[in-house]
Amino acid sequence: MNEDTGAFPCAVKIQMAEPHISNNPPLVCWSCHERSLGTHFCSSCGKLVQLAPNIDYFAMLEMPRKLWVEADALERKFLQLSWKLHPDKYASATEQERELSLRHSSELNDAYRTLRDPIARVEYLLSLEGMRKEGETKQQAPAELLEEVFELNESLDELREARAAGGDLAGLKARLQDAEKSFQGKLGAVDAALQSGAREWDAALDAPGGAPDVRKKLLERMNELLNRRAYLRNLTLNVAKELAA
Amino acid sequence: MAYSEKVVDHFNNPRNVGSMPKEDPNVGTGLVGAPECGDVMKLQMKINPETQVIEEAKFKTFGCGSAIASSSLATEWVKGKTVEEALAIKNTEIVKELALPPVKIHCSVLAEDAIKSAINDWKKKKGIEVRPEDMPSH
Amino acid sequence: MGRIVGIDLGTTNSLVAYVDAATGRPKCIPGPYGSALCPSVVSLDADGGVIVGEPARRRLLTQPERTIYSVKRLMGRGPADVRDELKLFPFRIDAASQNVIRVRLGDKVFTPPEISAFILRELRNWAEAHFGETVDRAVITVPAYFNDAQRQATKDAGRIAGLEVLRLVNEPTAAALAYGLHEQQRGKVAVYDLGGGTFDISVLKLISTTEGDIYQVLSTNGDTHLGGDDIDNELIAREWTKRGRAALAGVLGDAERSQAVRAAVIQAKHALSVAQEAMVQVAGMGAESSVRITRAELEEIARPVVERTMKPVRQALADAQLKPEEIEEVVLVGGTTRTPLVRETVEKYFGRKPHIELNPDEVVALGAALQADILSNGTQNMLLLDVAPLSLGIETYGGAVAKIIPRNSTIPASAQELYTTGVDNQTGIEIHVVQGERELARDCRSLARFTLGVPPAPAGLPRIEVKFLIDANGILQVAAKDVRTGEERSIEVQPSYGLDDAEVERMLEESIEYAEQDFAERQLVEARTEAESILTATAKALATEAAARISGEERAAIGASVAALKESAAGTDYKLVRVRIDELNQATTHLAEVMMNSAISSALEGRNLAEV
Repeated sequence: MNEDTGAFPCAVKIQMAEPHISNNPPLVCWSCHERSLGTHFCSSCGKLVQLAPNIDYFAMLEMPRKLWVEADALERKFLQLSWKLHPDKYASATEQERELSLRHSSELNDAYRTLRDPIARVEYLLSLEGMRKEGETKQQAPAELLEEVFELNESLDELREARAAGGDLAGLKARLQDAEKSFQGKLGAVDAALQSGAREWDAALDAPGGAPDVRKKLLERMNELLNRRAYLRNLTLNVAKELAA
Repeated sequence: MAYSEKVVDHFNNPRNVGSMPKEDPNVGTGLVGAPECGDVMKLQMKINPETQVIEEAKFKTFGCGSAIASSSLATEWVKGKTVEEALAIKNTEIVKELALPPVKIHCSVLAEDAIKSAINDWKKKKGIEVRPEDMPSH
Repeated sequence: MGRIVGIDLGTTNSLVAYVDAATGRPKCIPGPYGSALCPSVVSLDADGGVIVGEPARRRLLTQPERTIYSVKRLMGRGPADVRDELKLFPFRIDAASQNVIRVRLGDKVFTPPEISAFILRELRNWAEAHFGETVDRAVITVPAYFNDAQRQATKDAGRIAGLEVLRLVNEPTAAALAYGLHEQQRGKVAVYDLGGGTFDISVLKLISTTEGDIYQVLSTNGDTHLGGDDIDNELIAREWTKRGRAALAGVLGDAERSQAVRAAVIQAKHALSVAQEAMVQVAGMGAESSVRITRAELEEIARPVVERTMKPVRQALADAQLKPEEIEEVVLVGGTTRTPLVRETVEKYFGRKPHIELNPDEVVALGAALQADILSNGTQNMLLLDVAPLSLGIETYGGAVAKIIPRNSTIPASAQELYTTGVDNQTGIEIHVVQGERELARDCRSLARFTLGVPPAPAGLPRIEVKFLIDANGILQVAAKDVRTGEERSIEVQPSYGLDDAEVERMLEESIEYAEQDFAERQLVEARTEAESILTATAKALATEAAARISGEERAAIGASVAALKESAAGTDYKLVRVRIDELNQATTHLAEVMMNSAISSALEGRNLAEV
């Protein structure tokens, strides 16, 4: 999710086409033919069920769409489900069950990989809530941030050229180090703001009626924060790379 | 993935890379960004105040290949066009010309926004009113 | 269904192990020479017979052009990958090799999976002899850092050997499993596995839960072309320098000479694990021509190899977000970790004494046996959660790579990508899947290229969802679905390096022929041996006093049977030999009775049976 894509930061993102439908009609269990309500196992016969077509990562881990997640509790849940879903547990089961176990456990692993990272978790929530859809909702960036980003990128370019020409790098290097410090500070501030946003989101979910207006505003705010963060992160990575070279 | 040769060509040999003095009264500067992927694009054009024809266009883009290709193509297209003609350029035309896939459409949006934003900057310098429909709208 | 075994298919040696149902502990199965180590060497004799293991290893010296070792280094690789390496090995690559390497042994040509299959079949024979029953399923270990093609090649080898490969397990993970059971370890463990040709480092977390123990791999790294072989090659180069080309050239032929030098330096290297100095004595040259080597000299040669292992070690720790001092246990695996320099280096880095309690040659096979037992529902209180060692990516603009499954993702792992068309009525979307950490596709390992079929439609309208799934073996599966119609599409993924299904099937058939041929040969040898002993016994019996009591008719009948058996034993039909043996047995039944009676009366006369 947060993979460093280096010189080509515009990586292909995993974005499913349609927002998922969370209230699927209960599926009929392939084994006992009863209506089944469980996420992973049939509520009547206990066999692995067919995964709901657009099940989300929160549901995979049997948790609410909340953002403040205790790492230890999440890990325990992941291990507990792994124990029940891993293909090793179905090595001598029918081919259909083996196939289901592969689906369930791969989705479980994908879900855990995403949700255990606080930033990826927010990003994922925003895409679930329809806030971040590739090519449709253009993200805005404040002008002063763009100026800053552009200038820093230019100094990076200058450093690259100066290095290629074999010139004196001391001045540029000092500028870069200052910039690195400043951007790291800004990154810290964004992360703190995201954290408080996450707590507010959870509180809104718990509020009577789920406070839809509050949540909508929060989604917008966190979206802006993530945009800012993406720039800052790219820059810090590029600066670090340049300084290390 | 198979990409159109045009993308690859604009990516490998971008046209009109560079910059012009921002303070020049005849130069309009547009600075736009796509934060999802950390792209930032600067597009400048030198516009003849008499004829309103774009005589020169330069760009500098920090970002992925399709963003570079989109802005390179945009500078080629606006040169020799009037301001009004340039404002009519739509991102979909860039998508079509470069055969961009859906995940890269925002790069063409960025280029369209950069054109609008540069012209608006020039208009401001000249005291010409910016029409709401010419604001970067996406 | 037959038994399930665990197999360590190593660069230098291979082993087979199982879990003893009575004790619940894993055990290695010894081969006919008493050792559990089967040298990973395959030789082809003049009449096309395949020789595997210890006898093949001996033939390295006498028949080097018909014998191959370290074939693991060639698994899942293309001819261009190994061009440099092959300069160091005496193997002859067939000129027709394109995507898959083909090695020439005598007048025949084999792919690396076929050669590995000979080793697997040999181990299977060991296990079948041990249990007295069929073995048809196995868990096979692979270096954790093996890529998709190398894993696929290993799985193909299993299939060619007639084994259903239930799982490919990463070697360091297998070792951790064996150690966990042995030591009851908990907490964060680093497994440093330096074998003959590969290096792996894995960082695991061992967690006790109410249901049982979970072995969770946090990160893995390595180098699939780094190991003891590299030290050997340097040592060989040193011998050439020390002795001078001319001195060696006079003694032996080209291929033999290089093998003799190789054997000599390996022997000296092993001796230096305990001694401070050793002599390199090349077979065929007098003892007076031995060259002295000290441990310090060996360490100077080994140091660059050991140093090269440390970069992956640091990366694995960084990926697990751990510092060296946070690692609670360090385990050494692989024969090369017997080198004192390796032990010292690892101890210094982690600041603790590494575990060496379990035989580093056997521990991986023991772990494989445990995993086999887990999969056959024997051991139920253990679960292994392994990771993908390399990122999976897709080639995008200008040859850049978009990573879709990052390295160290717990497997099975998956990713979905949505594709559409760029031009009207486009009928195919080309997809190039790569594996690796580099930013450009050309620097990564190409796994597969395929074209997604798309129904003709305006550009951007089709929606094809492609699901990339890395299964529990670390092998890629691809499936596609048309989002608008819900229609599933199967994708024919042509591996960039490797065998397609039809080739594997053909090789399986050929290998069964080989196996049948081997089986027939073995049966013939056994029947001839039995014939010989019955013929000797008959001749001896006919010469006794007791034989005088049988009729001339009977004697003639025995004579005819003897002649018939001799004739059949000169042929190659073992079944006929068996029939003739039975006939001779029938013909001599009465003679045997007469002799028995005579023996009993002799015994009564105070003579014992042994003297009869």
